[in-house]
Amino acid sequence: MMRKYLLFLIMLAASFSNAQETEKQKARFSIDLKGNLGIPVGDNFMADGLKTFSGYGLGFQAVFVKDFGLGVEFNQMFSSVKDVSVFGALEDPRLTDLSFYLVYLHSFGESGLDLEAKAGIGSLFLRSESINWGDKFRQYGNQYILGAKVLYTISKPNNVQIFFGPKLYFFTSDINFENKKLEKYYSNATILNLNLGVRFNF
Amino acid sequence: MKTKQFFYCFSFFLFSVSCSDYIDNARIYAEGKITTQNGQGVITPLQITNSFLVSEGISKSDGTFGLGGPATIDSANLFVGRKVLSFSANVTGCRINYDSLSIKLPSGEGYTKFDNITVE
Repeated sequence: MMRKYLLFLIMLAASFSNAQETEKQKARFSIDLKGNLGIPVGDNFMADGLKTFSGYGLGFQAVFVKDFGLGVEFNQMFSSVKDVSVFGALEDPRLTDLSFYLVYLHSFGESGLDLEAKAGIGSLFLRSESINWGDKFRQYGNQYILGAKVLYTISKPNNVQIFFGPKLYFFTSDINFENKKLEKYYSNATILNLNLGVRFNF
Repeated sequence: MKTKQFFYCFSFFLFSVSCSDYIDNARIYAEGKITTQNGQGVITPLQITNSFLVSEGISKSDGTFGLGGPATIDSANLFVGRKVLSFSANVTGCRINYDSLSIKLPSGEGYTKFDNITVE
């Protein structure tokens, strides 16, 4: 776990040190508002136990060095239990995540089309409620994200774009079991996120 | 008077914060096989319960089952719904409850594997 964080920090440091050698690029700030679908995939407790998530997200990013930049995003998605024998007698599972990421934005100039790719790390938090009384069960962990976006300018004077993109969450948490296969099944999950939204550039 | 009200509110707050029945970031899982005395698999509804329901499911036609749920502070029970005659498990501390219809698990979390549960 630490090693991956370290690698990410080195990547960040490298992008900053590159910055000093090149001519200054005008920073491009943007705010994203989006709707999310989260489809748990693979062989894990979320894919077998939960239905597709849906929710909303907010993002802020700054692109300032050779089309590279940094961003932060917050998402919240809601689902329901598909298989009680896998997930347990709980209801209203809610996924909240906060991620920091490195982004590369490529603009196709006059066509109004932009492409974006990003990789990042963050915290993810799954909270479910007991059935019929107010108790809450929580599972939290870390996540790695990989994502891409296609953006299209809908209003040039106002610098407003719409976008669509897939994103993968690789969620890891620390559920302990004597049976290691089961431990992995309940600790890790992969979620395919599809997001559609609007971006305000300034 | 204000102090007293504050105290009531505060103690209610502490109560509501401190009395969660779940253990966060932990789970319980039980699996195994349920058969009759002549070795035939049994399809039966199963539940893991505490003072409340933790998980539920149905065993397959060969009698195998797997049930997972959130970990709880108090020890849990595996409710089989038929009279349990005997069982063997990978952990110590399991016992047949007085009602004979359920098996007491050693705790409210962790992994329990039953090599076999024989029911009437």
